[in-house]
Amino acid sequence: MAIAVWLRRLQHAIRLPQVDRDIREEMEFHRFMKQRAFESGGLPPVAATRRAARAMGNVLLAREQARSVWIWPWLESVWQDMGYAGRILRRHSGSALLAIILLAVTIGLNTSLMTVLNGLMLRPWPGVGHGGDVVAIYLDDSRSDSSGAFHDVRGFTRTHWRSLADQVTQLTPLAAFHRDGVQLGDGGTLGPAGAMLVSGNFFDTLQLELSKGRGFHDDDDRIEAPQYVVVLSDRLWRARFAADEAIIGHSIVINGQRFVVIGVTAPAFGFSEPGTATDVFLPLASAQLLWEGDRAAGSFELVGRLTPGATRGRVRAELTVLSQQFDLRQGRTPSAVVVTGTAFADHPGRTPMLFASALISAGLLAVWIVACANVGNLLLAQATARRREIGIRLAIGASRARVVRQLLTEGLIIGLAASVLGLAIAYTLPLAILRFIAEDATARFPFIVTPDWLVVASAVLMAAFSAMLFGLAPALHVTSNDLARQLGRGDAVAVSTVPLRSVLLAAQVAVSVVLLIVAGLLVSGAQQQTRSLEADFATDVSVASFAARSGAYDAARMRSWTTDLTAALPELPLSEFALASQEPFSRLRNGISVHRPGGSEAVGDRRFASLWEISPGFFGLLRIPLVAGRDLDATDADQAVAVVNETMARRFWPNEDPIGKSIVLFRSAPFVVIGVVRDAHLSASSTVEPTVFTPFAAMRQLPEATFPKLLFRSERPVADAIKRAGSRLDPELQIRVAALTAVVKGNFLSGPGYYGRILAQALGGFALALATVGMFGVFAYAVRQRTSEIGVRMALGARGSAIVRLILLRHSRVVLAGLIAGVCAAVTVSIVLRSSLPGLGRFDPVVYVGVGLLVASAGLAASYVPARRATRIDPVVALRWE
Amino acid sequence: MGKDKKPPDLLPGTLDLLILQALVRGSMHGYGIAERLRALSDDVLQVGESSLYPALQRLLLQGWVKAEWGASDNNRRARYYTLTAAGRKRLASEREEFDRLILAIHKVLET
Repeated sequence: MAIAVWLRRLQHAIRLPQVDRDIREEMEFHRFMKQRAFESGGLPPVAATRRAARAMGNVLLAREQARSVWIWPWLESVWQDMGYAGRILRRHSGSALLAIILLAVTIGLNTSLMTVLNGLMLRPWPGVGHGGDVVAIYLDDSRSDSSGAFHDVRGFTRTHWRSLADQVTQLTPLAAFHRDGVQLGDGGTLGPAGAMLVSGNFFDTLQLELSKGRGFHDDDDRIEAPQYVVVLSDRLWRARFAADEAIIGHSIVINGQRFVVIGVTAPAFGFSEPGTATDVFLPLASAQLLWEGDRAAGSFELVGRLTPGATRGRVRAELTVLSQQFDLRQGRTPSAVVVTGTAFADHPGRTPMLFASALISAGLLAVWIVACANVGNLLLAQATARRREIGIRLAIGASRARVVRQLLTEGLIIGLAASVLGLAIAYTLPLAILRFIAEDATARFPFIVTPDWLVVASAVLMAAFSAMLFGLAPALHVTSNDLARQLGRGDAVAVSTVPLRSVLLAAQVAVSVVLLIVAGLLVSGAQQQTRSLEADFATDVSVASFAARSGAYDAARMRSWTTDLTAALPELPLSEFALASQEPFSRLRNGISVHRPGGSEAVGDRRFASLWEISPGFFGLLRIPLVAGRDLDATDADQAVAVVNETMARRFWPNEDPIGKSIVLFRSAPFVVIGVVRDAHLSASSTVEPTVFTPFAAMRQLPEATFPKLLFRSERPVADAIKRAGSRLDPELQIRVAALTAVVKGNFLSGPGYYGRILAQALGGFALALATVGMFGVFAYAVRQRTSEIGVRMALGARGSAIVRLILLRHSRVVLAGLIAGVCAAVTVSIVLRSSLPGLGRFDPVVYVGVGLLVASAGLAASYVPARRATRIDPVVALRWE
Repeated sequence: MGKDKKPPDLLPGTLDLLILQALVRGSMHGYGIAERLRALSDDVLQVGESSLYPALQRLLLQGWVKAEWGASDNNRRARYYTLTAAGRKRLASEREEFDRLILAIHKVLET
C-alpha cells in the first residue's frame, strides 16, 4: 500500500506541470458551473461572474494546497535537508573545504585513469564503422629460451595473406597493411613521415568515410600495374597543406616519386598505437615504386571484419587450419594464428600493461578509500561535536532515520561537489600529463581523452559511495547513543577514545603502508632490473638539430654544409662531439636492407638493420665500448667501411669473425666491417636491433638530404655558441638545442615502467600525506576532547613531558596497529603481485624498514604537535573547558 | 496538510468520508460532488473549493478514487472521479469508525 502511494507520488511529481494543468482546469470548470447556476438563478452575467469568483474564494491557495498533496512531504524535506546541510557546511567551511578537496583529488585521479583507459587503451580504432567487429590477425611468434618466454607476433607474407583471403569464410574482405617510414617532399621541405601501405580493400573493410576524395579500390593495388596514388591523413593535410580544399588531384613527392593525392581521411580516423604516426596511405602494390625490392613482403598485418554470427574464437580456428595448410604446402613449420581486437590493450603481449593499469587502478581506489576514511574521521569529529544539537533534535521528536538522513545529505553534498571538481580534473589532467610526457603526442595520435558518460556516471557513483562510506558510520554512531547522554555533559571524559575513529585511522595507516611498500618494491625491483640497461650508453649529452627553409638545401649543398660544420666545430667549447644521422631514441627509424655480396635477395637471406651514419668520436661520446676491430677515424670518411653491433654480428656471422667481412647495404657497393661495438639500446624498442654504423659521407645515396644531428657534451652552456656558429654558416638556419634526456622523455613508450614507478611513488606519497593529515586531525581532536582531563592532571602536578608521553603512548597504539596490518597486507599483496609483475623486487628489508620508519615518524609528528600544545594550556582554563 | 477552515462544523477527516460516499452511486466531477453534498445535506454542508480539491488529490494519492477526463452535460471537459475497490473498502471502514464516534458523542451528550 505504502509503496503504491509512493509510486503514485513519484509518477505525479515527475509530471507536475500536467497535475497543475489538471487542477487548474477542473477548478475553472467548477467556477464556470457556479457562474451558470447563478445565471440561471436570474443574475445578470457580470454579477454572476463576480459572485461565482467570490464563492470560489482563494483559488490560488486552493490550487497550491491541492498540488502540495503530491510533492509536499518528501521533496520539501529533502529541500530542507539540503538547506540545513548547506548552512552547517558553511559554518564549518574549513573542514568542508578540506573534505571536498581531498575527495575531489582522489575522485579526479580515479576518473582520470578511467578516462585514459577508456579513451586510449580499450577503444578500437576510432572513426572505423562498427569498430568492434574489426579484428586484427597475426601469426604467433612466441618462443621461450633459457632467459624466459617472449610473447610476440609477426606478420604474414603476401602469398600467405592472399591464400587466407581467398579461402576464409567468416571474415569479409581480409585486408593487409604494412607500416613503414618514407621521406616526404623534396629539397628543403623533406621530412620523415609515417606511411601505411594498404591493400586495395582496406578502406572498404574498415568502412572508412573520407572527408575528401576517395579511398583505394582493388584497381589501385594491382601488383602488375602499381599506381602513383596517395591518401593523406587528416592531420598531415592540415599541418602540411594548410587544409587546402583543392588538394585532390595535386601531387606530392614521396621517396623522390610524385604521387597524386586522391583522398583525405576523416579527422576521427586513427589507430591505437601511440608511438607511430600515420601520415600517408599508399597502395601495397606501390611499394615497388618507393623502394627497391619487395620491402614489405614479410610483414603484413591483417585486418578483417567479422561476418554476422562469427566470433573471434571461430575465426581463429578457421584461420589456424587454413594457415597451417598453407605452411605445410610451403614446407614450413606452422604457427598459430592470433585474432584480436584493434584496441591498444588487445594487441598481443599487452597483458602486463593491462595488469599494470589494474594495479594502478587498485592503488587509486585504495587512496580514495583513505580519503573517505579521512573525511569520515573529520565528519565524525564534527558530528561528535554536534552531539548536543543532534540530541535536542532527537528529543523533540526527530526519528533516528531522519537525523541519519540529514547527516548523509551533508555527506552527499560534499561528495557531489567533490565529484564535480573531480570531473574537472579528469577533463584536464590526462591531456596535461600526455603533453608533459610528449609535447606533440596529441598531435600525432588521436587521443580521445575526454570523459564520456561512463566516466561521469562512475564519478557520481563514487560520490554517492563516498557519502555512504564516510557519512553512514559517523551518522549511525552519533545517533546511537541514548538521549540522556547526548544532552548531559558526560561525554567530555567518557568519549575520549572512539573505537570507530581509531579503526578508521588504523585502516588509513595500513593502506598507505601497503601503497608505500609496493611503490618501494617497484622502485627497488626496477633498479635491480634496469641497472645494466641504464648503463647501456651515456645519456648526459645534448642534441643540436638543424632545419632550413623548404627547398634551400639539395644534396650537394648539404654535403658542403656538413663539411663546413665539421670544420667549425673544434672552435666551439665542446669537450666531446659527434655528428649522427639521428639522435638516440629518435622516432625516425632508419631501417635498411642488408645482405651479403652476391647473396640472393630471397627473403630468407635478407635482413633489415638500422643504419646510423656517424662521424668519428660517436662511440666515445656515448661511451659505447668497442668489442672487436677498430673504431672509425677521420681517414675513413667516404670509405666503404662499417662498424656493426654485437646483435648484427651474431645474426649475420654466427660463430664467425665479422671483421673483414663485406655487406651490401641496400644495393650499395660492399662495405667492409672494421669493428664491432657492444650492444646499446639506441632505439626506442625494448630489444637491441641489428645496427650498422657507417662514416657520414659514405652512405649519402638517398635522393633526399637530411640535416645531421650534432651530439655533444660540454661543461658550459653552449647553446648560444652553437647557434652563432650555425648562423655564420647559414643565417636562415633554424637551430634547436636540447638535452638528450628531453628527447628521451619525448618518446614515452621507451619505458612504460618508468612512469608506473613514478605514479606508484606519487600515490604512496599522496596516501601517506593523506594519512598524516588524518592522523593529525584525529589526534588533535582527541587531545582537545581530553583538555579538561589534562587540566586536572596538570593541576595535580603532572609534568608536561609526562602528559606528552601519556598521549603519545595512547596514540601510538593506533599507528602501530595500522602499521602491522599494513605490513602484513603488503607482504600478501607483493607475493600475489610478484607472480604477474616481474618488475617487482624480492623481499627487500630496506623498503619495509624504511616505510615503517617513515609512517611511524609521520604518526609521531601528528601526535606530538597536539600533545605539546595541550600541555601549554593554563590548567584553570582547561578545567573550565566544556 | 490543508487547514480546512471553510466548513467549521465539519469534523476532521469527515470530508474524505463524505466525498467517498457521494461517489458511491457513480463517477462525478468536482462541482457535482460539491453540489450533491450541498443538496443532500439541505444546504447545511457547504463544501468550499479550498478544501474540496486538496481532499480529492489526497484521495487520488491514496488510491481510493481515480480521475478521468470526460465531457460534462454541457459538453465541456470535466474531470470525473470514480470510486476504486480500495476506496469502497475504505468507505466501509470509515463509516463504521464514524458511526462509533457519533454514537459515542451522542452517548456523552445524552447523559
